[in-house]
Amino acid sequence: MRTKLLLAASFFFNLVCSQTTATFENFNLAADSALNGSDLSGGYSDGNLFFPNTYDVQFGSWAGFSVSTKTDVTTPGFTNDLSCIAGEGALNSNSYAVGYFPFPLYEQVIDITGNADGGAMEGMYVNNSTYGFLSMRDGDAFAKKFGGVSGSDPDFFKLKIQKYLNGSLGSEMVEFYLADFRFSDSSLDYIVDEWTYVDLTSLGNADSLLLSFESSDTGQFGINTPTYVCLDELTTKDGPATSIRSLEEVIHVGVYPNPVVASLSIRNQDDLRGEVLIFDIAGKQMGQYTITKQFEIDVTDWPSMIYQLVFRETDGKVYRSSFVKK
Amino acid sequence: MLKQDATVKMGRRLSRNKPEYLPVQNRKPAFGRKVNSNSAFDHSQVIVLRCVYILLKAIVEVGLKHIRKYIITLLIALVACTGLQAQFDTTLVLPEMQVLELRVNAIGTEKILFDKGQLEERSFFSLADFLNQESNIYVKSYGGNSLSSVSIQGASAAQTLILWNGLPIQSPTLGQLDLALIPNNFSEEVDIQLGGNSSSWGSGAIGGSINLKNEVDYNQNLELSYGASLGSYSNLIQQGKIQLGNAKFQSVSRVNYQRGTNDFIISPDPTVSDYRQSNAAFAQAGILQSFHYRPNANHDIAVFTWIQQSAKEIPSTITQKNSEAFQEDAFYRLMAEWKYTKNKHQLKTSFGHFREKQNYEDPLIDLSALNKFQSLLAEFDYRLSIHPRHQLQLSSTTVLNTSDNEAYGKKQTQNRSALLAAYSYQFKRLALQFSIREECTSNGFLLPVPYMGWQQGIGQNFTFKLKVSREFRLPTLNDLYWAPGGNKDLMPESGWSQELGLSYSQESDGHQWSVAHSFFNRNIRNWIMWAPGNQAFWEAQNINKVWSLGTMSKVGYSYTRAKFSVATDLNFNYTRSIFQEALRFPRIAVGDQLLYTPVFQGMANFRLNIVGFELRYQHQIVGQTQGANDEIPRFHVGNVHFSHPFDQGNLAGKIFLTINNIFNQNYVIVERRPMPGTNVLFGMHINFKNKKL
Repeated sequence: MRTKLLLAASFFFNLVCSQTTATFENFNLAADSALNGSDLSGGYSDGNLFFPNTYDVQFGSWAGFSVSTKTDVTTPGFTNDLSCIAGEGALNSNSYAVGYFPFPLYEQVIDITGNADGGAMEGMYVNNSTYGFLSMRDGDAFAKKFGGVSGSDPDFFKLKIQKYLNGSLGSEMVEFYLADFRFSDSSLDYIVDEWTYVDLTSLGNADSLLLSFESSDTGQFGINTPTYVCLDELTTKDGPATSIRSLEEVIHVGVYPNPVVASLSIRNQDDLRGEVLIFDIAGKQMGQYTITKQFEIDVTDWPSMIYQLVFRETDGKVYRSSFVKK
Repeated sequence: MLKQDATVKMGRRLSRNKPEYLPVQNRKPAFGRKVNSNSAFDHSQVIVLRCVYILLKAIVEVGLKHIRKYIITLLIALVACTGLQAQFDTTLVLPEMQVLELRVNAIGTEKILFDKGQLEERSFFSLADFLNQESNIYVKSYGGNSLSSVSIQGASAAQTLILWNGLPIQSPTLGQLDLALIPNNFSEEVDIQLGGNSSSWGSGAIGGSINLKNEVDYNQNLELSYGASLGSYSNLIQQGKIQLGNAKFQSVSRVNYQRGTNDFIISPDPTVSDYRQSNAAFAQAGILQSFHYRPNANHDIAVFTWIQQSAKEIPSTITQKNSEAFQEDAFYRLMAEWKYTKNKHQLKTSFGHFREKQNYEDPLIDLSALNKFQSLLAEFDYRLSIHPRHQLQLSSTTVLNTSDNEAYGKKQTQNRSALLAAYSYQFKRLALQFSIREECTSNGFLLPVPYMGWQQGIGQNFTFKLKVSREFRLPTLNDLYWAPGGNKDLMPESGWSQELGLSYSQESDGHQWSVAHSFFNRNIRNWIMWAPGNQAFWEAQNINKVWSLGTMSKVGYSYTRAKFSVATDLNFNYTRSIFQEALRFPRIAVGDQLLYTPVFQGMANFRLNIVGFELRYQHQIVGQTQGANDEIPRFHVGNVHFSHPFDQGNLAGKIFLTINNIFNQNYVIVERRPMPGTNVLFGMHINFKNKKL
């Protein structure tokens, strides 16, 4: 009993660190539409993050970040550059961000603003765009089909995340393979097509993030692979990683035991209204539950791994934690 | 019979500090100013070219009897427009002299001339395949009947000018022409100048020029010919020609139809199964109709109409799962030509109206791109034989290109005019030529473009050649106006080229030997490339300098007897065409060879004629080239051709069998685009001629 209380207290502490999540739902975009910067806003703010956008009026082209609700998962090519291969946002949401980082640097900065400025990133969900996914899977007139002719080429397409703090680029880096064909056993090769959580806590405190691409399919004219990525549910800690800034935003939810073997208990002390979503490490949704005062979740048959647990209030606020299934 | 003259190029570096443009008034970047619509010069040009257009339509509609009146009217307008005060006195009675076209017969320039016989022999080939097998010119082919372009002396495809009866037919939007779309039976002569001659031909003739010519024989009353061939990959070609007329009037109709599936087997890698190429079918149909009228020995009038339509599927690359893309090309080319010759004077005027459309569609990516343009061209040549040793030529050219390509946002035009003065001196085995061209665009005058050629016979067997000339190429409409990335401030590519050649030939008792060796050197600056700019797209920029130098060598031998002949020749090219500026994007280091430009290239030909049968074997070796992503390995390909010509009075013809890539080599010319393995073409051609109708 004492151990359970300690574990619950530990998780409780995790949740009381105030977080803000950029969900892109507040743009209230109509279905199958997008904001690609043609409004000349120069970028989009959500949560405590600013996503820059560059739009060329003369040529109608954009770079940086757009916000999209597009659902086309079948049309290849650049004419479908604002769709995610999942056909929806992360956690079954409607909206998400599409990043396009063109030559010559293939990189883009996300500014951390407000209370989160100088604080720590929690993590984000990442996926391929439809354009990028289909290009890597099938090839196109410019880019190769990953694996090449024989299927055994050690191709990869990688998203790299670094941080700036006080004007300096940190040495920390999180790498996420949007496609990886480097396995000696080709059956393990994959191209990401589901929203996948990327933990960014190892970056530490930051005032901006630097996202960049690296691809094995690179020629004299640069990266042939379409340099697109989809992002969603980017969560920041509203303050430095080691402090709690706003007690008003603390929620009191107990999740125990952790690790859990059979039944996970969730106690909602603040009488929050909303839902609880649970995802496995690959981003697959394991369950969706309406929040009540206290409820149990049977995890007996779930595979042993770390699970993401997301509390989403009806006003859109999101709190996130994790637990271990033994 | 291949006729090739040796030419030599010698080194001289470009003065890099010298401005390339002399603007009309204040010095401004080329193409930085828009066309002044109030300018009398531009306005008159437009009027004249519109008149040309009306005339050319009238020629077709009204008939030949009124041609002379219209042409004379237009000629007067053209001369007034260009300011060229050509005067000639037809009342003079002087001895007949030979008047040479100094542009076609440029002294000091190496040439390859394919005559009617050679073209008829390979009439089922496209010009791309013909040049690939009959010359040592590098043909960049995407495989089968796909897009093909040429590179001469290490120049880019856009730096080889393609002419039709002297008028440029390259796309002013792309700067190139797909040579796979030109059927060989539409030309009576193909005249290739190896090496730059921008002074004569204008923009684009940096690496060389290819002139497709239509000639007519007024002694022919009737000629009917038909040919058909069947080949691998459901390849069917049918072509015909009807020539009808008399000593004063001739009508020549040439038709060509071809189709094929192009679905050859691809063996991309030993670890995977072979598969059949898909989405590669093509079909093409065209007609070239010409009317020729020669009322007397002084006048020769011709009207040409070339209409053609083609559709090609674009196959996938070997690293692409599938493709549904296709391209449709359609064009209409109308040209009128009037030649007047009297004593020492020769006058030639040509007017052209070309309309062309390319529609690229890729249903998979929901992409449709329409590219269309039209060109109005007027050309005037006056040649005077002052003396049997001295000839003078004055020429003017006016071109107005218009395109309302969707990517430009609005209709864009490019107009230019040029004056050319050329002088030649020929005495015994010495020939000299000097010419100078002054080109004017809507942005002002270019620096004068000179040409100096010297040819000297040494003894009975040696010929020495030397040529120095300035070259240039104007940016294409895409370079200037494509959105995104078009750059209105682009300067033309320009520089100097030098050639030096020495040839030896000897003939005795049926034996012929020839050895030719030439060197070329060329520096081109303001090289136009698409590279990353300040925005998130590629922009056309004058970003590099390219130095090209190399050698071309040929050794030939032939032996001829009454019913037997044998001939062989060996060709070898060494070409270094290197960037002189390092770039990050595209990733280029100083000294990098241009993409798709082989350093080594060789060709061996063997021909045996015996008792009416002919056997030919060609072997081509192309050294390693660099693609945008991968190195392309060297390859060698052998082709065999058997034919049996027959001639029985008025009826002549041949049957033939061609086996291409006889050793079934697995090779690519363009990366990720495989070439077909062993394939055959079998066909026949019959020809009926009657001198008396």
